[in-house]
Amino acid sequence: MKWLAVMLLALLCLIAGGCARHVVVERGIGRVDGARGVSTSSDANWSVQHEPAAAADGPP
Amino acid sequence: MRIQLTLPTRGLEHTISGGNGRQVVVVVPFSDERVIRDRCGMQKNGYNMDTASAICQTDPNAWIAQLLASELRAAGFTVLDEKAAHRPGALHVAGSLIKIFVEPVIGAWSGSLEADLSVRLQVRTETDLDAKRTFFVKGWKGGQLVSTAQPYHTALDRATQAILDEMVRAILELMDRYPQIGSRAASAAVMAQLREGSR
Repeated sequence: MKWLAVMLLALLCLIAGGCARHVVVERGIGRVDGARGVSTSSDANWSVQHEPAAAADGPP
Repeated sequence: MRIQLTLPTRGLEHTISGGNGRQVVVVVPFSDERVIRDRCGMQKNGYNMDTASAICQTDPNAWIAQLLASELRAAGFTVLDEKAAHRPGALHVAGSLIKIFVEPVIGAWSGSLEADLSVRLQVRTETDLDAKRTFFVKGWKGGQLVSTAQPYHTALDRATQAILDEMVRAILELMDRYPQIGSRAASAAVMAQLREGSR
């Protein structure tokens, strides 16, 4: 009987631990500077505020 | 316990070419626009809880600017510092470090490391070019839960390679779009125009 109680308690602890881990990991609790959900792309082009004065033609 | 993060210093594995001796002035260091400045990453336990800080061993703002300057030099540009004499059309490259942060991403059964690296470049010339562009890359090292510093270095090295490649290609693209930037012939023409204008 004692063994059964210990086994049940261990099983309950395992389930409770799994649930807690799922909550903190999947819901991101404790994430200080998350990598997920942050923009991960660079600008596709230069944002040109002012073009340079025209000068010489031809290759540089 | 802290993770001592050594910033990578190696250049691109596959060097980019096309600089053709055009002049670029790189401002060192870049300005610091990071939200988190006191550390460059963190360690977590299996429950995603913050357990330790990763500390950059050198100033990341100077590091990224110097690395870009070296890579531009390797690409064939003539790279000068701010105080050096340069042509009027030389491209001035200043930048801001927006983010450098390495952290584990804990999954249900395994973990990986992600390095976020973001830089904004602001370029200008004395001939009136003014442009900016923001770069954001991720370096990833997967397959293990983290207990040593090595995966942090690997993830950051991969992010560094990616952002260097993007920045050098972007500068090349911009200077190819405006051939008057940084070249000797173009600078002579600009000087002639300025002399003409002053008469």
